[in-house]
Amino acid sequence: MIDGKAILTGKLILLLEDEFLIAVEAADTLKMSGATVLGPCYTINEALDALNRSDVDAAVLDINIDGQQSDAVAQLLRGKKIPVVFTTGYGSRAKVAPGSQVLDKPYGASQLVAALATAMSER
Amino acid sequence: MNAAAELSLYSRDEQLLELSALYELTNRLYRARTSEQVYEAALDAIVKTLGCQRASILLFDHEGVMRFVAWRGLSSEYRAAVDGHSPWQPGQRDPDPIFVPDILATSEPAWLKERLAKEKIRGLAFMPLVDQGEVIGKFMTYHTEPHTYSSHEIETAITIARQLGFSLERSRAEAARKMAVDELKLSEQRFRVMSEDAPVMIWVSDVDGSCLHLNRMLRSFWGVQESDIGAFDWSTTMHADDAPGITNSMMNALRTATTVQTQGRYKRADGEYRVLQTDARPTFSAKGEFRGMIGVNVDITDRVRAADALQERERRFRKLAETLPQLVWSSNAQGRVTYWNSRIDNYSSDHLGSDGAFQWRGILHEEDMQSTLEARETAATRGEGYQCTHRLKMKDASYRWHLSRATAVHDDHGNIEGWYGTATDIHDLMRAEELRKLLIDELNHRVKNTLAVVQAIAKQTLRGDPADDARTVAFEGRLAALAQAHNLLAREAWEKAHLEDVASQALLARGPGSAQITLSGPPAALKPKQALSLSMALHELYTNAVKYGSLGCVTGSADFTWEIDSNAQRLKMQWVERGGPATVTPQKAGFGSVMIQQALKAELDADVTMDFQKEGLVCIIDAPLLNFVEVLNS
Repeated sequence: MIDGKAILTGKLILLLEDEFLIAVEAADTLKMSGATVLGPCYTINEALDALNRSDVDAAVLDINIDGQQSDAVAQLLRGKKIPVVFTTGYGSRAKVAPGSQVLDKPYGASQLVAALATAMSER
Repeated sequence: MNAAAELSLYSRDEQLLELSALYELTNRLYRARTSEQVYEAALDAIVKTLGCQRASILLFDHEGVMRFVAWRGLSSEYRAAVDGHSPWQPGQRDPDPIFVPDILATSEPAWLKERLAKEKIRGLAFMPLVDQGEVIGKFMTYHTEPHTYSSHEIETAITIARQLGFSLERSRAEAARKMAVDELKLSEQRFRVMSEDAPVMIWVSDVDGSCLHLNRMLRSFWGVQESDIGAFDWSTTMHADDAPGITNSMMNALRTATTVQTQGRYKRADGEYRVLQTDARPTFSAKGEFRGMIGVNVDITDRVRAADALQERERRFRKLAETLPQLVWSSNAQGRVTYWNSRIDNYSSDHLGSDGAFQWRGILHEEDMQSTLEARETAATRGEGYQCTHRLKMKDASYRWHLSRATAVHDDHGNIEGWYGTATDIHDLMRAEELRKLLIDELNHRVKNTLAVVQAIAKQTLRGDPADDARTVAFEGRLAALAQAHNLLAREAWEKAHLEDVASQALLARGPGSAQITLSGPPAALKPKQALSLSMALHELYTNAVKYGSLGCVTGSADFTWEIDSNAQRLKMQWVERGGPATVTPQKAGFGSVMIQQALKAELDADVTMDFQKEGLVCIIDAPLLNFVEVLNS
């Protein structure tokens, strides 16, 4: 088992999630694992702006942001080879690149940390 | 002795007698009307000119045996004894006459000599009679004393033989001609007899088209007596609309003496008009003169009506087919499309090949070609209908989804005669189905987002109290179980979920102890609410087993099995834990037992028993099949 805390400590993680309470909860989880959160960003433009300003170590992206796909952000991150964990309410029908780390909502704190650790170690 | 010297031996009277006898022979032969007259004339001439009292005429009969046909002064015993005797074979060419001056001077057998002696014959002559060079018989002369024929006698005998031969030749030719005429009469008579009861209408007409003969069937059709045929005018029975056409064809055939075929309505004796098909050909005399027509009429009314009815049915089918919103088509057994309705106007003109024939290939989407051909092939082999979905090219070159159905039409022997088919535009329907799926996905997404929010609220609410950690984990687990059941249902458009999927999602790959669980049971589908309840219940059984039961230690195991009792119409599920620590019955009912016992009772109408045995928990869930969507017997 990968030690999530050891991997996440001191890392800057972009968090894109349009649902306030879910975002707050995820941010808490990341902070408790020793990471610094860039965001939470609530819109796609916010996330793109944040990425232009800072270099992040990894990202947690909700696939559907207020009815829009977060593809633009995902593409930018893929271009920079930054590991990503997608979160979704679509279950197995979510449309993401094969091999991506996908978390089905609702997810637990330990699942988020484990998924991020896996994505970052696969880098 | 030369001829002139010999001639001088005859007196003038004798010569005159001979000439007049020969003249008389010629005259009588010329006038003869019967064979007997011919024979008598010849015998008279023979005895008068050849100085014999006795003579005979013999001819080969049809078996080639020489028989007496006329004679003078011969006993019947003699004739019987030598009957059939002939020095020549029938048909022998140009035989010579034979003269026997004295039979006793020959080496003929004794019995013959005796027989001749008894008849008082010493000298005799055989004169061949020929017809076109072939021997057909002979005449004989008999002399009581030995007799040597003078050359004059021989010439006279030959003259008589030739005369007689010519005459026989002529009367035979005449007999043959008469026989031919009789034969013709007989054959005409036979034709009438045969045609009389023939099951078709037969007629014979003269060169003007007037009836000479009508057989029984045709007489009864027109109601004409045989004696009235001569006065009967068939042309008055024609239907006024058909008369000009038939008359024209018939007149033309009579004028040119050629075969003719007509068809038209004629009034039957009972007043009903019937459709007759007439086939007629000219008849000619032996000399080639046109004598009239002989024809056959066949009543084809029923056939014509059947064809009309078929045409009417076809017309109705087409009318019906035109009103349908689908593309309707029919094809022959080989799949060649022979009819399609006007809906084809909505489709690309590529449906027509360069030869003008219908071709599916032109409008069928390339990617759907294979599956369509396979469906058709399978159907043709089994002699059944088929249905398949495929895209067809429209007039604007876009492709739209269609549901195509075809039914085989069989002949009386069960062979495929052709196909009837329709293609229904289901493009909008499919779009709607896609939209529905999209909406369900969207709903699922929102529900689960909401669950995630609920989870966040719960965690934020409980934050900071370490004693609550275990409860937070339990809550998260329950929420996750509920969310996953939603995923399963979304996959089946919220219609059903498969028991095996529900069990494997709730129990397998969940974390600690999951690998120690086994599942087995036949296929069965659950209703949405049942799936949710069972997911939650199984989640509780799993977490309990991890916390208190057999899944808490590596040696333990748990089996979830289910079976269908088709007689009792029940689905029996069993959760059996083994190899765990000794279990104790819990004192108070927590959320888990509520989900297991009460929720399953409520949603599945199940009898649930929880038996905390020493080896581990045994939970039996026994539910009526009636409440399940479907049970697939494996």
